[in-house]
Amino acid sequence: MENSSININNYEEFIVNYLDGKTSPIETAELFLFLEIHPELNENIDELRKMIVTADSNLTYGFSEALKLNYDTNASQISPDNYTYYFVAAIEGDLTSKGTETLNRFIAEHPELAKEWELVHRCKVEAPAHLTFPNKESLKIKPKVTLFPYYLRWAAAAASILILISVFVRLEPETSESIENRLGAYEVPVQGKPVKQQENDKAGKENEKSAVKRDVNPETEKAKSPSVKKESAKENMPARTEQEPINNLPALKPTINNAQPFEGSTRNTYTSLYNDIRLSQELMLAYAENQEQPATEEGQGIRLGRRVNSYIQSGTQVASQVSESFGGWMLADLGVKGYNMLTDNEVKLIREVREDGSTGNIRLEDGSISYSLRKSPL
Amino acid sequence: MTTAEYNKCVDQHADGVYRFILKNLKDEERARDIVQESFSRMWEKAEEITAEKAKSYLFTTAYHTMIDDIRREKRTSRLNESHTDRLSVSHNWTDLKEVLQIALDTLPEIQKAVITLRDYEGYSYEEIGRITSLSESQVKVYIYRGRVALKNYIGSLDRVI
Repeated sequence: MENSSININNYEEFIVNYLDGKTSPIETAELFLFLEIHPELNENIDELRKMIVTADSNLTYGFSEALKLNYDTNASQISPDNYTYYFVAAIEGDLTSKGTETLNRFIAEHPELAKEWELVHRCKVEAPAHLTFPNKESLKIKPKVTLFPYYLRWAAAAASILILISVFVRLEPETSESIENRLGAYEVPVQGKPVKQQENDKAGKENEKSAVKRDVNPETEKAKSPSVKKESAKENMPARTEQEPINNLPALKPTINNAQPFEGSTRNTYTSLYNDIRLSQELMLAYAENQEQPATEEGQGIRLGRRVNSYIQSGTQVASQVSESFGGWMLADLGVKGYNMLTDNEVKLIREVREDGSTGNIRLEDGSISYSLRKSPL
Repeated sequence: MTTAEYNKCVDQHADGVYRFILKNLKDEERARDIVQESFSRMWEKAEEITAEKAKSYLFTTAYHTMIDDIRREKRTSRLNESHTDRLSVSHNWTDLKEVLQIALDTLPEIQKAVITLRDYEGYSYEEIGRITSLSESQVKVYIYRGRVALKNYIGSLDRVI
């Protein structure tokens, strides 16, 4: 036996061999050295010694053969001196079929050992079935109850979606500054001036523009020109209260070139806006009536027609003169905003005056496009 | 190991582990504590233990817990003394099973452990060796000597009425 592998797990095997007198002097010395290092094992060793002594006093064989693998499984060496080992080997199933046959022949040849064979054969203990663990259910793991109801999951999902939407949609109302930057300044009524004063102002402005052009980079001039116009318009603006922009306007297609009469819900929608239009135009009319009217000259009607507030006598008149096929939204935009919210173009109404002073035609200029609204029959 | 597998393991092996420990300790309260601790440790390592290895893990844990408990309590069997005492009295047994249970209690702890694992649960030498941290040969020797000790305790079938 090699002594180099003695350790806390196999020292008993060395002790058994020592007590059986089968250890070499070197192994014995190694064993004692090991026991010196582990004095706490003395009690167990005493116990083993008692066991060995007991076994030796009752058995004629020390069962050291059992330490050998597959020792005589054919029971070829069975004898009246070592039969106990083979009896135990038989009930433990360590004999081959040939070994079992040899054992049976041995018992038949030694009938005085039959009772001892039966006794050994019956020395297998049975589990006491009446001994059961009390309250076995206490050992089991109870399934965890989900404390997170399903509706909370849906609520959490809905909250997440709202948060995402709020990221991409501006929920805060737009300031008037941002609206002006995005859509441009509102069209505001401009006070009428005498023709001579207008011509002088026009000449002065052209001089200013030419002076500005000399100092400004041509590339940036084009980009800056709208803001310059906006600033000039603001300078001429009378004190006013800002009007709330019309929000949530449906994206309607212009119906200017596709004349369709008002019908059903469309008519009702514009009818509901009529009072707003009328009130705004009445305010503009009252403002225009206080202004000094220019003298009547040839072509003056056209020039004057460029002043929107002078031509729109009232919301009621405009509404009555405009063909039903004219887009009501255009009219609404004109009356309230002064620009077309659909095209972002400046919108103007121009009235053509006949020689007798009657209205020959009303044109709507939307940017560079002019629409004829009505022609009076001659 | 899932919760269902663990609970199934309780149904299948709790009694066996309890009997094994109770037979070796002869103390119901401590046996219950050891069984409970063994299952508790197994559940702590449920992610590492498969259902197939659960029984072996349970008995191994229970056995080592029992040995620690015995050493802690300085509780050792006195085979020689009890064996001598029993043999010194003339018994008239009425039931061989009862006799064997009494004889089993007289064995040293290690012999009692390996024999109960062998007879109660049908473990092989190798499996018992894994549970008790003994070599296969050691297990075999302890079982053989335990068998003979049981036989000698009974003495003779003639004494069993």
